[in-house]
This record gives sequence, C-alpha cells and structure tokens, in this order.
Amino acid sequence: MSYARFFVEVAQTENFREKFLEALALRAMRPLDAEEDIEERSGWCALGDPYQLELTHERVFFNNYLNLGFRTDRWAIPAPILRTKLHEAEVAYLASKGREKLAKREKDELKQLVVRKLRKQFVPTVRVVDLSWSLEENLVRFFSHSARTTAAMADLFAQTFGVELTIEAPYTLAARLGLSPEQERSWEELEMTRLTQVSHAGQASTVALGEN
Amino acid sequence: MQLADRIEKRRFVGREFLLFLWLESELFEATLSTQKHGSFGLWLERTLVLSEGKESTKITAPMPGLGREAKEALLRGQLPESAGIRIAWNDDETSLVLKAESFAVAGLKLKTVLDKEEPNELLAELTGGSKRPPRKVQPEDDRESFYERMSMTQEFEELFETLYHDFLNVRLSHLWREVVEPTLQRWVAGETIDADAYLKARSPKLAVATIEQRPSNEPLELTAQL
Repeated sequence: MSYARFFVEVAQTENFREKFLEALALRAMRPLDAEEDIEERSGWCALGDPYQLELTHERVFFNNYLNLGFRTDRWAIPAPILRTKLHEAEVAYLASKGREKLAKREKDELKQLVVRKLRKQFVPTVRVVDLSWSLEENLVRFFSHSARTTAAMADLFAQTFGVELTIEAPYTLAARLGLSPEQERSWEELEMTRLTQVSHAGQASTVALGEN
Repeated sequence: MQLADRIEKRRFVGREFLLFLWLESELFEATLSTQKHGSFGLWLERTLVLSEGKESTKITAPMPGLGREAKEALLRGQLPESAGIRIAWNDDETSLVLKAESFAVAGLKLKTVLDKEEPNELLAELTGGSKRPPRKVQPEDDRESFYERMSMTQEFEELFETLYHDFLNVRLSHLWREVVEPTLQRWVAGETIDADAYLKARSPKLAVATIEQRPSNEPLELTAQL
C-alpha cells in the first residue's frame, strides 16, 4: 500500500454532505467518446468500482470518511497501427487528388480522421487511484505517488470541493500535533543540521549544507 | 514567517527525523520506545537514499544504515531522503518506505484479516480440493475491509506521529544542539557512543532539570560525558 497524505480544511456546515454530493455529481467521470477531440479525461467514480459513476451517499460516505476513485481514461492507440493507417490514408488521398505531396493542414486533418476512426475499434485505458478523505482528521490519503496523477487529482479536488490540498510536510504534521508558541518560534529559526568531518588532529571542519 | 515558508523552507526537518530514527535505532539496537506504545522494534532495512542537491547516494542492503558508505554520504553533506523501515510491534511486523520531505508512505504491508484473498477455485479443482463456489463479496464486506485497513493504517500512523512528536520535542529545544548534534557527529565519525548516557542527556525532563541548575553557556555535564 503506497499513499501520500494531504492536509485539507473545510468548514463542515450542517448539510455539507449533500453539498459535496451535488458537487461530485458535476465532476463524476464522463467516459471518453470516440467522436470527441480529446485524448484524456479524469473524473470521480465509486471507490472499488471504476464503472460506478452514480455517486450516492451510500457509495461515497463510509461513516466519517469520504471515499472516491480518481479515474482517468486515455486513448492509447498503438503507434505502429496509427502510423500504418495514416500512411495508407495519405497514399489513398494523394492518389485521389493526383498529387505527390500533402499540405500540413491536410496532413493534420487526415490524422484526426484516422485517429477518430481507430478510436472506434479500441477502448480507452482506464486507470483508477483510490482516495480516502478522513473528515475528522482533515486528512486526504491518495494512493499514488505519481506526480502527474497527483497534480491532476489535486486540480479536480479543488474544482469539486473548492479547497486546495496541501501535501503533508514536516510543518503541517507538527502543527497538527501541536506546537507551543516557543516551539513555533524555534521552528522559524531552524537551520539544517550540519555534520562535521573530524580531522585527525581532532579539529572539526564543517561540511556546508545549503538550506532547502 | 509566512505559512508557505514554514512548510517549504523547513522540509529538511523530515530528513533530520529520518536521521534521528536511524541514529537511535543503531544506538538502541533496533529497540525504540514511546511513553504511549512502550518498546518496539524499528530499524532501517533494504534501501536508504541520501541526497543533497544533485548529489545522491542509494544504498541497497539488508541493513543499509550500518555500512560506512551511508555515514560517508552524511559527511559529504547528504541527509536521508527516503528509507526502508521495518517496525515490529504488537506481535506484528510492518515494513514501508518513508519519504522524508512529504512523509509519503510506499509499500506499507498490513496484516489485515478481512482482506485475505478468496481461495483459487481452479487451483483447488486441479489439486482435488473443494469445489465450493467462491463467496460473493458483499458491499458490507468491502466496508468492513476498508474500516479494518484504515484502522490499521491509523495505528501505524499514530506510532509514527508519536515518534515524530518526541523528535520535535528534542529538535525544537536546546537538546538538539547540545546533545543530539554532538552525538551525531561522533556517530558519523565511527566513534563508540554510550547509549545510556545519551538517552539520559536527551530526555527532555531530565535535561531541563539539569539546565535549570547550570550557569548559562556552560556545556551540559551529561553531554560532556557522551
């Protein structure tokens, strides 16, 4: 099990669950359509079932957890097939026009046409990453470490719930555990530990470390 | 200091936390303790990545922290970026890889009961076992399995957070500079450390009492004994 933790703070009003469900309905996954000119799309689905896109209270709320699947569909047409079909289409087009070369615009349009046709013969790849939001802890656990997937999820999360996710950091955890005013001051003054190389003469020489 | 700076400019504290765990697991022979959890086993295993800027050292070994290579990397200014950690606690063993700056967890293995896989029907048939049809997984099972997994995850996180809390009490006090840093330097240099004296010196309550009685600017007596 691999996951990253995010800190999130949302004012939980009396009917926040209903509001969340309304927002989720707007951002639930819409499967890709071959006629659309779009390569990839992400949206929410039910936890454990990527094809369940009806996000009801029962499917989303597990006591004090809000659970979702972050689903991403992507067209993945094998490159050799695309190249072959494109070449065939170009040859046929040139023959029909009695020409030897294609303009760039014609080439692009042909490619779009071929891609659209091929998409009808393939199904998009479906990837799902689980997400669990512990409403009591203000913590979101996202079960992936991929930077690209995480960034896409954080965007969708912000669009859906209207709040930004803060990736867990030593400070966010320290703040949740509780720092005294004195410790807060110490935190601000912290400098990275510098280990020293002890020379044979017993003198210490500092190995300089840059601050992050 | 802005909140963003407190977060971003102090991510190195996570690296120091890993360094602290590494030091103490070596000094206390892989047995750490917290007031809340008592004693448990904790040691670095399989992988240790240290880095500073573009320079990085990856050590893959059963006990990656024990070798000289890891200490040399520390002396070159690198600090732990991630480490494989094994925790033996509550008659169970958990292993994971902890990333220092985000506290992200990879490869956490939990000994759940409800998550066990259904028996392989084909394998059972081939080996003459029972042909009982597999149990249909009910939504309630999914929920129970989820609660069990989250509860175990939270147990692990609570242990980890307690360790981090104890670390912060030391890191955000004079004890870090006066006790832990000198010990780290001697440990990295390969010197023998008196673990008992170190523990007494870095125990916040005892150290505070000692500090109150000493004149300022005078080194801690216990520190000097380390």
